[in-house]
Amino acid sequence: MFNRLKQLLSCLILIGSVSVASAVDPVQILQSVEDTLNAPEDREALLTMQLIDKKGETKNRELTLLQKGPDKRLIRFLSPADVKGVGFLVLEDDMMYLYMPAFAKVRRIASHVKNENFMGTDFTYDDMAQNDYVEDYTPTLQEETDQHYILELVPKPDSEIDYSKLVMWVNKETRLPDKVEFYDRSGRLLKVMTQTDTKRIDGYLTPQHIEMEDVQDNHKTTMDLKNVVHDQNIPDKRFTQRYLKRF
Amino acid sequence: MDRLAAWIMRFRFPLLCGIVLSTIFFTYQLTKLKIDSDILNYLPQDDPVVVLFREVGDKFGGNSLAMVALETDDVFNPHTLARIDSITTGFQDLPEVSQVLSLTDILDIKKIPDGIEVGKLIPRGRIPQDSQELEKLRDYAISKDMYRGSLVSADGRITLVIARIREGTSKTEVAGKLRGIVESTDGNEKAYYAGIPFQMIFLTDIITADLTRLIPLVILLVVLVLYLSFHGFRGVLLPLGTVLISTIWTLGLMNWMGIELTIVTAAIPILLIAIGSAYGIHLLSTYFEKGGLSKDKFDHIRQSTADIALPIILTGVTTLVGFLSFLFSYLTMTQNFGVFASLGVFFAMALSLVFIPVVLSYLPAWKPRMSAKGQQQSWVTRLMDRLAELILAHEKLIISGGILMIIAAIVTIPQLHREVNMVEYFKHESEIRQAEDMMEESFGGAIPLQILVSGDIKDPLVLKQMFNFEKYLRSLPDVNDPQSVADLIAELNEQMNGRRMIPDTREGVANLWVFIDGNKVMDQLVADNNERALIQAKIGTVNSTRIIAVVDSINRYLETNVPRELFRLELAALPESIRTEVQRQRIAEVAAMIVLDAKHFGVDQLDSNRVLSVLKTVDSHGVQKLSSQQVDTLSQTIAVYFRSDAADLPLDSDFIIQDVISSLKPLFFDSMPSETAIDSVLRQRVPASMYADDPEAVEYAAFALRSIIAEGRQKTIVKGLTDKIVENTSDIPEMELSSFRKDVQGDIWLLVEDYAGLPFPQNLQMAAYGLPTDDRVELTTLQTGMPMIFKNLDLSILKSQALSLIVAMTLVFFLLAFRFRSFTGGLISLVPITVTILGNFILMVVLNVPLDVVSVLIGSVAIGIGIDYTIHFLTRFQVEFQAGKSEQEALRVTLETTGKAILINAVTVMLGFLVLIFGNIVPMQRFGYLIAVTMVTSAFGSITLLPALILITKARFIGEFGRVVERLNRRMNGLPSQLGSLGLNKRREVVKD
Repeated sequence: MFNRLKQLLSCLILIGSVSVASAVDPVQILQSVEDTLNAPEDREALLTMQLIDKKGETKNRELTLLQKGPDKRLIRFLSPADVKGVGFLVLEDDMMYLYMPAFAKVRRIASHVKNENFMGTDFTYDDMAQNDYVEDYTPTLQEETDQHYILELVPKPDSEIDYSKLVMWVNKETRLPDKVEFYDRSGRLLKVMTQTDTKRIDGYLTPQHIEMEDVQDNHKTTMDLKNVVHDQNIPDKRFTQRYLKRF
Repeated sequence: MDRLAAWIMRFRFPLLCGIVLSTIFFTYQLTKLKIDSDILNYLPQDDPVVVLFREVGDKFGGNSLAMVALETDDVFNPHTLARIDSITTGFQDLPEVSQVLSLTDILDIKKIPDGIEVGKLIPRGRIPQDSQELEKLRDYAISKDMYRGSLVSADGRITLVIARIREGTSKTEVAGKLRGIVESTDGNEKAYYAGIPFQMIFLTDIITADLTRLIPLVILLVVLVLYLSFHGFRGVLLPLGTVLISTIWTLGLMNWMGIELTIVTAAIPILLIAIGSAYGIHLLSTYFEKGGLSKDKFDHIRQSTADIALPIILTGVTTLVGFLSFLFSYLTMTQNFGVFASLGVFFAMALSLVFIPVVLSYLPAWKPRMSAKGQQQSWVTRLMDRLAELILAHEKLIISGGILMIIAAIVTIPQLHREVNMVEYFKHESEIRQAEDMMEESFGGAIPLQILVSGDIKDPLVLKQMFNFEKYLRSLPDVNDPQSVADLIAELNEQMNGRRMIPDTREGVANLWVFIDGNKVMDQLVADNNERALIQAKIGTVNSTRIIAVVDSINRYLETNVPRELFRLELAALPESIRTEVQRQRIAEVAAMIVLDAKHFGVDQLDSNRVLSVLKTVDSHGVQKLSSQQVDTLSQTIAVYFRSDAADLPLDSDFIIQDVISSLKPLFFDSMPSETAIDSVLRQRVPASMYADDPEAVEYAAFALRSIIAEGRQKTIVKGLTDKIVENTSDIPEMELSSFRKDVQGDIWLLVEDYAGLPFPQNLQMAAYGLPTDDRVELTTLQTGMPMIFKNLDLSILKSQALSLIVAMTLVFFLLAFRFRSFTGGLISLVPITVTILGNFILMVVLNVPLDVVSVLIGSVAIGIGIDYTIHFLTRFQVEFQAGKSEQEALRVTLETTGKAILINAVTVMLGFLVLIFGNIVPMQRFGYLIAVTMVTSAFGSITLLPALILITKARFIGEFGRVVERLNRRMNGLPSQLGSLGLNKRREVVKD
């Protein structure tokens, strides 16, 4: 359920622009994307989300996002009111904890399922957790345009990725994926993610508007990032069950 | 009529061209005719029940589940699981399929000590191969309510693969693809196909098969009859051509008007071919009969046509009227049947009068062949003579027989039962039935009943009503597996917090809802931004009477037991006296739920007074005060908390932990401690150095401890009461006992909650105490689903039957009264057909044939066709009688000529309808033989009961009986006064054709 957060974070993080690699090695390009995504030490942001279903009905959510390194993240609901305070703590090895203020309880969620959508969004666990593209995918360069390298990412045989492939538009300048297409297991286009409004914040390139559209179900999730702060040396204890209960 | 005949001859060429061109056009249309196998389309689309059903189907994707079942000795073997996996992936690869559930692709949520574990029941690509592992998987899957009876049968022999088909795609097409995928996988498992999409392909197949098999058969039959009647090729080809052309026109017109074939309208071609040839036969008979009279070919044709036109039109119109009475049916498909069968009859009638004369005019003149009358014919003639004698001798007996029929009908008709479930329309050995029967036996049924709930679905009061209502549903004998978002929330609550019930606060619900929000399963459970929810359950019977009984009980329960408005009260804020009253109401509610739970688990006679007396102790000191053992358990929980990662104030010293606990004990053993009290214990007992770097820790710990203690106390109290109740239910099997316990625990938990929901009328009383009643929630419930439609159908079948019979009878009466210029004549003419219809109902009761959407047609069809025999008989009898013959002579002649023709015609039509018994649709088979019987009985009635009636009433419309009074007197041995008093010496009525 949570992964999407992770992914979101990773996407957000687009920190530093990487020196432009002149050689067009797809693995290198992908590595540069990964490096860009994982550049900041830590990050805190306010996230507004809009879920739009096929009938055009929308649901709004507000969350705070706290991330440190590749393996620590905390997501906390601010609205709607009835879930205010609900928090997710994701630690390494997919250890996940949920805090439910209504029951004043922390519950461990041991999840082996990555392809479930997270909290009604169009991001799966997997999407959220994705920050090691090079480890999971074999990239090939499809096309090179003025602005983009278009990479096709095929999951490595031993990875547990649930997509048949991704097509990623890597911005040559920012080394950020401006657009990613996700194909389902039978090879049909499932989702399209776009990232826009990229700004340099605290020295890191950060797209502030992210959209994920499920083209099969006509469902869309948009996310806007505000108050983004990087590298404020968030203490590790913020990522503990004890602090999960505090908000 | 002479002018009509002359006109036909004059315009013979344009008429022929017109017929040929129309036939070409309609043949082209016919080739595009489609079969509509969506049962929903057979219903009137503007009926509110149908509208709601469709709306719910659209909103919740309810009509698009296709289920494939595989059966083998034990599905938990590597091969079967691999096959399920390849079917599952095959289905998932179809763009039209939005979701697939099967053993190899289903989320499995397990409770673990400090949370839950989410995984797949069988992780992808990891089908167990080892027998021990397989057995473990089998035991686990069968032990879980979520799978047993939903995905795998309790005996492990059958498992389902369930595919949800996207809206806006052709269900039949997708179902065909799904079937192809299953058939392309290897395995010895028996495959079943259930659900509406598969039923639709099955129906299409069955209708196509019936049409391709039965139409040639009925054509062959007609050819045979025509050949026997007329020999020569024109005698066969002309009437046959007429019915075939009229059938082509009718079906072509259907397509042109955008109407598709249904299980009922599929009978039209067979019906038309069977009955439509009669008109051509009549025309040709007259043509042949008058063969020697005219030298001129055209004169001959013209004369024959003119002579027979009126009888043909009259019999055609009565038949047409019979069919048109179906316009009053509830079902669209029956209305269509009425319209197009009438049109077909009209075409057949009109073409007999136009097409046959026109074609004859282009053929060489017919030379009468003096064929020797066969042995058979003289045999029939002799039979008819004998019949005439019998009628004359036993007219009273015959009439008594008729009266006896009427009495028998009055006695038996109330026993007629009705059948509206279309699944029942298929043979038991048919695939569709086998699949449905299997679903009923192993998965609790396939027909979902649905209850639409509108309101703020995330409000705990609404969810609680839904959850309680599901408990009621489960307790009904023919209802299985109720499902809704409410029991999903309750199940999550069980996994997260150890209680199977709806949390009492909105936040509690929302915190759990977070888990399932956006999950695909939610599309079937909630809609309209969580303002609508659907409760679904399976009906475990296909019997209409039982289904309707369930529908009625549910509606009654919704009406009386589910409040439309509730308001919420915080118990702590209430004065003592009201709190007691609220608690009293909660206890009654909980007791009712426990009784329903017990009923579900097979305990019918749980003593509700005993339950009540146990529950009433909830607030007593004895229950509120914890025993030392209970205090110890709670202390343990507190100790575990302090040592956990989630501890707000982590203590690693056992000594300090024990010290804190023993100071807390006096606070919680007989009541709830306040947060402040806990806070001060912590500050006294825990050295300040332990939280120096985190001053807020004590506050958080006090808050956490308060909820641990509150929950611990609640749990203990609920457990104690549950134990007392469960000890009275020893008949529940061990396996289900823990599930029953969980349900009872969830019920009782309501009594220890902070908030209570009460039905709104209580408001007045509460307002009198000055209590807030503004925290209100409204909800409405509405039953929908196929069962509701069955109920509507059932009512409408009765109404349709009555209405169509009345309409057909009335119209036919007016036609006949007009024809014979006599009111009495109209009434008497109706007698044979009335007795025929009553006889049909008696037969239906005797053979246990239900009134269904097809058998409801029999009455009016029988009137339309059967009345013709009466018309033919009366016309001839009248002619003979008025020509001066005695009634005996007239009867003999009529029987020898028309009577014989009537019998032959009836037998022909009967055989035509009997062809239907070779079809696959059970109601059509029944329709075939029942109509066949009515043909014979109405024909027989026309030549026995009808003359007997006329003889005994001496109805004037036939002619003047007075002139034969003397002879009658003699024959009937001394009833002169009686006959004289009938005053029959009246002016003879002249009736013209």
